[in-house]
Amino acid sequence: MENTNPNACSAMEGGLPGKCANLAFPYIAMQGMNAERYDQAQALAAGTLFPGLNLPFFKAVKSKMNCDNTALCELMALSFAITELGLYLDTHQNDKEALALYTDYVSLAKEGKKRYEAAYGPLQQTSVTTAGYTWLNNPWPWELEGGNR
Amino acid sequence: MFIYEKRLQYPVKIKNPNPKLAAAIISQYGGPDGELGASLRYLSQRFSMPYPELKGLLTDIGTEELGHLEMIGAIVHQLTRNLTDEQIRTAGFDAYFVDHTTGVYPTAASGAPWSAATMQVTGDMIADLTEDLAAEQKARVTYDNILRLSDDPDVSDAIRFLREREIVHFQRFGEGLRLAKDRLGQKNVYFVNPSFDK
Repeated sequence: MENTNPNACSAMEGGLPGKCANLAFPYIAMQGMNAERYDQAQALAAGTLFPGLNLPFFKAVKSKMNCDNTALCELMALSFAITELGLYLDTHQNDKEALALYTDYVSLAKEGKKRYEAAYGPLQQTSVTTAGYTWLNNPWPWELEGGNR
Repeated sequence: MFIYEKRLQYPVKIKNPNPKLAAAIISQYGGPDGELGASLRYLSQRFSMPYPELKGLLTDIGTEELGHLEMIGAIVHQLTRNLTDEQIRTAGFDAYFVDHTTGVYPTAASGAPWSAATMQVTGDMIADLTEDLAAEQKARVTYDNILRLSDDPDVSDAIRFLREREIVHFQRFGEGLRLAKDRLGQKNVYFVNPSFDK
């Protein structure tokens, strides 16, 4: 991108790539509305839905997440895409395509949650089953066994 | 209102205990740039935000940070399970062990317990959001340094995920600042504090 000549801006402005902007104010470029996206499983593995924001550290190993096809991983991936798109929508509330995708992910996650609960028990205390008060059942999420689903 | 969901945001499955690494990672639980400070900072700053997109952004990122706090707790918990007498004497872990056994306590790796003095709520959206940009960068550096210290791929994988979230949050806070400036609609953005001067 070509730099605006700051001398062409008004006294209260300076040069940013492409246009003049206020002095003494921090600027982060707004992400565009048609940004490339990963699918939900790739997004969970990368830590972002957006390849453009995937900026790893040289000491980090490539994601070795082995989390495919279990009900927990399916739910984690869908919920992560919802979290990530939700933050995006907070600053891009007029992006209708992203909102439609968000809605799709929300209904997929509802189904995913049902499948998970049928297999492993409640995700929320209120998800009472015919098997009794299974909310208390081990493992809890921080326990090693909790991640092996 | 908050409702607990009984799962982690990202899998934490650590096969090999490593108390020395746990004693470093505890800093992201209760250290100066850790997840406890992050969540309390954002969930407290939101009360004085004047615009809906900023109230939403701080609520949603603050909530995600609580999930990250839980992930760090899980990492520390799993790294310190089934320790031998020899392992509890590990340099770097013995000082933590004497006070907390293998409980998860909000403290910096260097020993200072978590303090609200590590964060600020100014009641001014530009000052708060600028602090939040810095906070995400400081947390990112802490994760970089944990990745330098870790030789366990199970730990590094979860830490890599958390580090990437800092970068995404930095981007969104920056966009939040831009939206805030557009809302002010004036050249001198410091003329009033829109949270206070009605």
